[in-house]
Amino acid sequence: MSVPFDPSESLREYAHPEALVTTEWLAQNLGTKGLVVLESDEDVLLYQTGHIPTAVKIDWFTELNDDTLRDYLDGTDFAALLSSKGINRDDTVVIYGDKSNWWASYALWVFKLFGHEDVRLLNGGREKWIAEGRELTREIPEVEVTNYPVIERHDSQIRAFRDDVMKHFGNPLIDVRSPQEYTGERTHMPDYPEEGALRGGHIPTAASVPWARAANEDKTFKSLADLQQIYLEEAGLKPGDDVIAYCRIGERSSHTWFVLKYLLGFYSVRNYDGSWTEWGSSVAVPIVKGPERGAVPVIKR
Amino acid sequence: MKLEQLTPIPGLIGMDGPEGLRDYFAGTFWTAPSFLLNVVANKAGQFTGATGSSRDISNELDYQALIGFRKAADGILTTAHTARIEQYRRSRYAPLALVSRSGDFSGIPAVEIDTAGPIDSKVYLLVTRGQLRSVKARYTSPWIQVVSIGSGSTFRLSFALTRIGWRKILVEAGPTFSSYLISRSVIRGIALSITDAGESSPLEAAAAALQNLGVVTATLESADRVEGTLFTRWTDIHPQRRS
Amino acid sequence: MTNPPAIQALIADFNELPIKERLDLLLEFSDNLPKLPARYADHPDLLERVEECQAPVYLFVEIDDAKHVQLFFSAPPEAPTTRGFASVLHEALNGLPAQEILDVDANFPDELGLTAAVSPLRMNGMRAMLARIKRQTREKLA
Repeated sequence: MSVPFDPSESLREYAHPEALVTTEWLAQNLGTKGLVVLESDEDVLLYQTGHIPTAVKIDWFTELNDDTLRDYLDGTDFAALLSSKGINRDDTVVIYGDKSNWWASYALWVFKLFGHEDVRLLNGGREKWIAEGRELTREIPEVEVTNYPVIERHDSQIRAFRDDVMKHFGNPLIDVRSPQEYTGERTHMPDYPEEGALRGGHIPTAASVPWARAANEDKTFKSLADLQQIYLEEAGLKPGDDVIAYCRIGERSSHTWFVLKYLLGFYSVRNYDGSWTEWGSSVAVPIVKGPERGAVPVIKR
Repeated sequence: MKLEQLTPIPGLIGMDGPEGLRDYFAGTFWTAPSFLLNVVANKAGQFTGATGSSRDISNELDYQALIGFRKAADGILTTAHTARIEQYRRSRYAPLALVSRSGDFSGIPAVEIDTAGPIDSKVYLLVTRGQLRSVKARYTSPWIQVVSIGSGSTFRLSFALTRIGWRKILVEAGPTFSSYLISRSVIRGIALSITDAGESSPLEAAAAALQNLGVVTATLESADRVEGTLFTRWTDIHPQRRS
Repeated sequence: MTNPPAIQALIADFNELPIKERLDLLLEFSDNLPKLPARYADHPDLLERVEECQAPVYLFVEIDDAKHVQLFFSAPPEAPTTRGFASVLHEALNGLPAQEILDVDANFPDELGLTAAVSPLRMNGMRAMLARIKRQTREKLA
């Protein structure tokens, strides 16, 4: 059974206000039957240092990826995972995390690959909850194991593969990495160790919109007006566009995917999660170095 | 080695006799998880007297304070050595954890005698991995649980206690083990009673004892004087450098 | 060359725990990273930033007259994994003779059995800290 949406004024302006909840709403609804709260962080120890009461941990590295393939869980494993977290198919799942909900967005995107209907982000994430002095606990909640159904994954709606990108030219691409990664000065995130693609640069015609531009100082998403300024005015997106977003391995671009789809209301937004790590080390795919977007490449088939 | 820095906080709180003292100390002291060292000494910095026990130095007031701390704690940590000298019984206020490198827990009432304290008050025997099997085989009373502390490092020790579920850990060890924990930066707070303080200031009364524990700097958090016994509490403990 | 006893103890302590509990032990280290003494707390500019880490981490190496190394770390509470790594390195290396620090196996972090729980990407941070400790030690010995 799912929980009513957050009616807060601050969320109303977005295309899909039901995809967000405020800290105030969450504080009031903790413990409600039908609500499961998940914490998804970049730092693997952060949850253990203290988390929102009743929240269950989900770790992108150890739980959302398949051990052998460089791919996500299949339906059976996803069902087992969500059952172990105490989630039912019709539950409301609220996900939050550190770094402006960067990894929380990624977890939400994976949930959407499996078509879980009611999954929302806590606006402002972990940092806002803490900044407001709200309660944290180290207590690990008791989880009642459920029977989440096996769902076949449907990637095509929200996930792009390399060949999809090759066919996509002429349609907008958003590169959400840092400017230095975009120009090719650097092949890894500032402050992050080299994970290394072979070449630096970006996919031709991609616009550079670093992912964190979508967030305020307090880690909430920017207002609709601000987002429109960034993505429509500056990056040149138009309503109705078919957009693909990418970064290094698809983790930062999930955040932008969420913004484009749920806040700005684009119907067709896909996350190219192979991202630069795949593109930059592929043979015979075009790349552009430097600050210019580049032209639509002529693809030899 | 000189005690370099103290930050005295003015104001001494008067107590309403021993009962009031016990309840005062039973109030929350820690932000969990942390180790509070409770130790009694005299102005000369001695922790034991002629019999080698802290009872030579302690008094009724200090004992009441000890009970108060035990009530507030999740568990009491000491060594097998101290438990033997002081003839520890199981406490009705908190479970006991005894550390021994040699795995020798003989001569300790809390371990060996079923009438030495409540039968449902647990005693944890903390031993290094090499001792684990033999100690488990030797001590099988229902109130005893043998726990591994791996290599015996202080991290592994505090991890073992966290796993038991303890957050507020009262350390009641002798000066050797206490100094060791202080040198390893395990101790967050020291509750030091000086039983012959008379009218001395906290710094005068406590300096020798703190020095002997290897404390180089500490911040005085509170000081209470009751009939010549000075109860001091210190935080921000910095030991001498590890060599 | 065999590892110093402190490192051997760490390797044994981590590896004998089930993988999930290794994270808990890392948390123990993280919670107990020694605080900076006043002379560094008041002068953060003296510390060196470890660029490779996923969070702002600073470290400083001091060598005393007996040529033993003292290590000082600063890492914020919002980065508990990085704090944990710093704390493990402190436990492993603090107080060792400088030459032993130079001789320590640069890959010993991989032997802790943490990689599976934490990810190879994150472990790079610990290796980077170790490399800087060695470099500062080498520079200060000269």
